[in-house]
Amino acid sequence: MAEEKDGFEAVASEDEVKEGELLGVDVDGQPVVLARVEGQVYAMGGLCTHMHGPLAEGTLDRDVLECPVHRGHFNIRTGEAVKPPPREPEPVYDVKIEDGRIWVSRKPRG
Amino acid sequence: MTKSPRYVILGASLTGGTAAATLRKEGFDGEIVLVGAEPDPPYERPPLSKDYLRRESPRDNVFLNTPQYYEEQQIHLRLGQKAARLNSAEKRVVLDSGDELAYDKLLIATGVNPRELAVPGSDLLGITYLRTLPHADALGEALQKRLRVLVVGAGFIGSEVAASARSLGCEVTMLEVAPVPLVRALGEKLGAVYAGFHREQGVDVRTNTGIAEFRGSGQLEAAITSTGDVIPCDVAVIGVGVAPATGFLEGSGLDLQNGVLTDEFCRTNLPDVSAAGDVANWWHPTWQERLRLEHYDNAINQGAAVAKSMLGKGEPYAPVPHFWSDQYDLNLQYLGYASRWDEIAIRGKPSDHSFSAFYLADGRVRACLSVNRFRDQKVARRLISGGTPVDARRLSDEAVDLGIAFPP
Repeated sequence: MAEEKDGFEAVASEDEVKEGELLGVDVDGQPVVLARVEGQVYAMGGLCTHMHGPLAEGTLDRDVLECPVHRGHFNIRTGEAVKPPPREPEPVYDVKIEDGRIWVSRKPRG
Repeated sequence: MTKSPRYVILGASLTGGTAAATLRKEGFDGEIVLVGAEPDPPYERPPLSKDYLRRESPRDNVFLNTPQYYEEQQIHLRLGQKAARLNSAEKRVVLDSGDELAYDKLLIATGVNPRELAVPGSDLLGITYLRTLPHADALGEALQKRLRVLVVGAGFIGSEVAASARSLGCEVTMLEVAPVPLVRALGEKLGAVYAGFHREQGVDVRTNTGIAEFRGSGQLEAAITSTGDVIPCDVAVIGVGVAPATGFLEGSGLDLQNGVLTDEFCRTNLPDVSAAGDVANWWHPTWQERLRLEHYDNAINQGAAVAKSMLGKGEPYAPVPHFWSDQYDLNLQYLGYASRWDEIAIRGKPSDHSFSAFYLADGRVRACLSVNRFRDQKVARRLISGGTPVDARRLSDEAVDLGIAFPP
């Protein structure tokens, strides 16, 4: 059982997500993808809104994540679908770094 | 006061729709007219042979944008209308209705039309092509009824229709005049692998076999193959290739050769006339060869690129092309472009339904096909764009971690 505090869940240690890389984790039982862009860690829904492609297996170019299945694009900061086939945005989650660990809000933002 | 410029886009397609949206996104505030031969606003074609055909996704999902979007963005749609003639000297397009449209800049994105099969009985009910939404609606209904399906031509459309029909429980026969399916895109080795996939699923795949005749009284009842076999069937789907939709451009002065010829900025030989998407045969500046692609990714990327170019903000269009095909539970990804190759290195086992094939020419990876295997595509992208010399044996050797052997 993942550690939980104030609506946040500890999902990884800070050094598991390197600049420009992706990591798939579970938050409250839901797949979430973590990414680090310019030092900042972001958390977004982990399954493509088009056909559930595993986004953690995609590629990151600056703040744009490309789904590996049909190569739609999402903005990792906002969850916005920026290149089809996906049109619906991904949920995004609040992230904080504490005790060298990455904490993700159990519920998406908004 | 100067009149605001009018940009006319021929083809209310993925390319045309993307170009119109990009013009607005880039701040163009002149008039945009999007002319489409079909009655529908721009939509995506990939679902027409897959989820939409199988009735697993709603109609609204295929459209690129909502009708409100075009109103809000003041993109004027002229649907159900076709260009009949281009008068570049006077910068006008004549539509088949007789209307004339003056343009300041013109984008030709008319795409391709299915090649028609002319054998006896081709006009029987139950014989269809698959290019448009109405085609998919009618064929989808037939598939729901579990009718007997004959697929003529095992290219991507034919192969995907066969997979969709089989998944819905239809009896499916697929004919192909070449020795294997998908031979033009994948070559014989990988085409043979795909023939195997279809046979595993119960499709009766008959290669080196064409169609001689359709029989029936009003409604299709059977097909006679080039080898003389009789195949009883209720529906026949023809997928024997496409041809660029350039008929209306004959005699316009536009350079035509397997589509509309353009440079790396999507410009044609005529002033203020550009072309993009399936219809464009463009010059790839890095590879120094001409390409005409009929894929989703190119339709979008070139649609965006040509819009910027029309606004004078263009960059040379030099993508590493990509396409996918979903058949059964097999997600095929293809990156790069190999018009020829010396060898193919296979990584993993096709029988496991998870493998990659690297197409090499002159010791370099030109293209990579992956089935249910995303990670190899990332390495392939680096190898293809970098033009890195590579030993094919290392690519096949699963003991070699490609991510480590060829780091970013």
